[in-house]
Amino acid sequence: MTGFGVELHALSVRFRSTAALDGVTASVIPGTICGLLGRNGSGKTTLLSTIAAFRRPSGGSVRVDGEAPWENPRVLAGIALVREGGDVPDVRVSEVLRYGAAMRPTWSGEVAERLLGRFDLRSSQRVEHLSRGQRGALAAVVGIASRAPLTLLDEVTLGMDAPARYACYDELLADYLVHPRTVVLASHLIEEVDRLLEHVIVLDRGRVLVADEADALRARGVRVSGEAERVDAFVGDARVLRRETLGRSAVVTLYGDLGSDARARAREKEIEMHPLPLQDLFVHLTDRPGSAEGQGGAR
Amino acid sequence: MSAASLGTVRALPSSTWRTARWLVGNTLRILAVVGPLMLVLGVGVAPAVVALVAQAGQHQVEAPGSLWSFAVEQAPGVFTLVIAAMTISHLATHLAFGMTRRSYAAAVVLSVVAIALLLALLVPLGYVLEAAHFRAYGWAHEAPDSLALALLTSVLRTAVWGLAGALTAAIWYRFGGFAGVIALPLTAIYPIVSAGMWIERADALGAPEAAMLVGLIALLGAAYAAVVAGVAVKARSV
Repeated sequence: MTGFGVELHALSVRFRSTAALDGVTASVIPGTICGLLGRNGSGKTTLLSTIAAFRRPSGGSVRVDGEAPWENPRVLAGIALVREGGDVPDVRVSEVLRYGAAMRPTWSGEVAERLLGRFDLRSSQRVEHLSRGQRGALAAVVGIASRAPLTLLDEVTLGMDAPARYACYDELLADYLVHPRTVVLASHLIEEVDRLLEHVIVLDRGRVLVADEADALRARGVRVSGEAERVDAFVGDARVLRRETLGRSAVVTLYGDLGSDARARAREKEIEMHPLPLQDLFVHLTDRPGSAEGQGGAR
Repeated sequence: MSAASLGTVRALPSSTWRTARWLVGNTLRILAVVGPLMLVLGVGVAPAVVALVAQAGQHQVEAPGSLWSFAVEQAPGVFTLVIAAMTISHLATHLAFGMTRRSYAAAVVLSVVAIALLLALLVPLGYVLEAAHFRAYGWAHEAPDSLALALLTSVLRTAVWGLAGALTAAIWYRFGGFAGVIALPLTAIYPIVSAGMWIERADALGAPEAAMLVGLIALLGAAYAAVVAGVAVKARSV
């Protein structure tokens, strides 16, 4: 087993009258890459900030590697929270790397230097002169080269162009495979990070909507299409996220366990079954009733 | 956690020491430029300007006694601002690199005292250079009787100013702008206390006054640690 695990129990964080996190209970398994998904304002950043002891919880508990992280030198030394743009000193890039080497016991200078080249960053550049995308790339360099037992990446790729984002995912995965640790990845770009994720926590309005293995979650999202009456009969009691009709045909998005014989039954009734991409499943699960996206016959 | 899986795990000095070194190192870089500049302006340029103005107006120069003493009096005020900005901007970095608030507060107190000591070294140097420059103009020079005492006074004074700046900035960061405004008089704590102790001259510090200033430094350091202890790191604007 490698990396730090995280246990959250009834965790809540309040900002005056607003509950940013409300009774969050979930765990992150050590040595896995966990996706933290949620819409804007769902509480992702607050959750990561609380795990990294950037702020105190208002209620409930956080345990990292079995201990509360707040002012805990052993635990904090193993946590790297990398926010968009990175919390790096405003100096030259080369000095940021020297700072990382001086402050992180697990820092890999070799990885940091290699990643600078991969992201086209020059060590002589000053941080304040970097573009938003370059700052994101530098934050990613720091996050990966830190090799912290618990690496929390909060929307690090925002602002990066597509090649830089894919380079970031590839490098993270490559280093993770050689040096496994726990990674929690918060991102809006679910299609891009989908392939990395082993576990997923979906937050919605400060609460945990889903927390499961990524494969199990993917298996629960299905889109079925065919003749409307047959589709409705096939669906039975499964949870319908969305239903669209076109003439006599219907396309229904489902969430839940359809049983092991679902494929055989679908073939029998001439119904087509397609797995739902994680992003589509996320969109449907976090859809707001009454919003523009929520229209269209969902029941 | 398997340490081997994460590559080489190096033993590092305490995080207080590492951060103090970083803060002092960064300030030294500024000081490497500002220090000589202060000496050139305060000891070299200022007397030359006085002489030029007097010459242009065909006045008899009234010996200024010391212009460097004015720079020495004013410098800690600027130091307060530098320390306030530096300590607040580095707090999130310190935490993001896996260290505690406690170690940060200790590092800040250590750094401010160390930087105050380094800055204070300029004080006797300035008086010595100024005396030589004044001699060239044939002016009488007034310097403290004891440069060692002037140095000690400068260390204590600068440390009080610096910690007051760090504390005010921390209050502003933790409790918001209104609390920060309320805390602003803290930055004037040295003038208030020194007026109360009747410290008029740089070499007039006695043992009781020095002890009081050391106590004040300890008090400001403890207050800084208490404010930073509960601080939540704010969201980052990119």
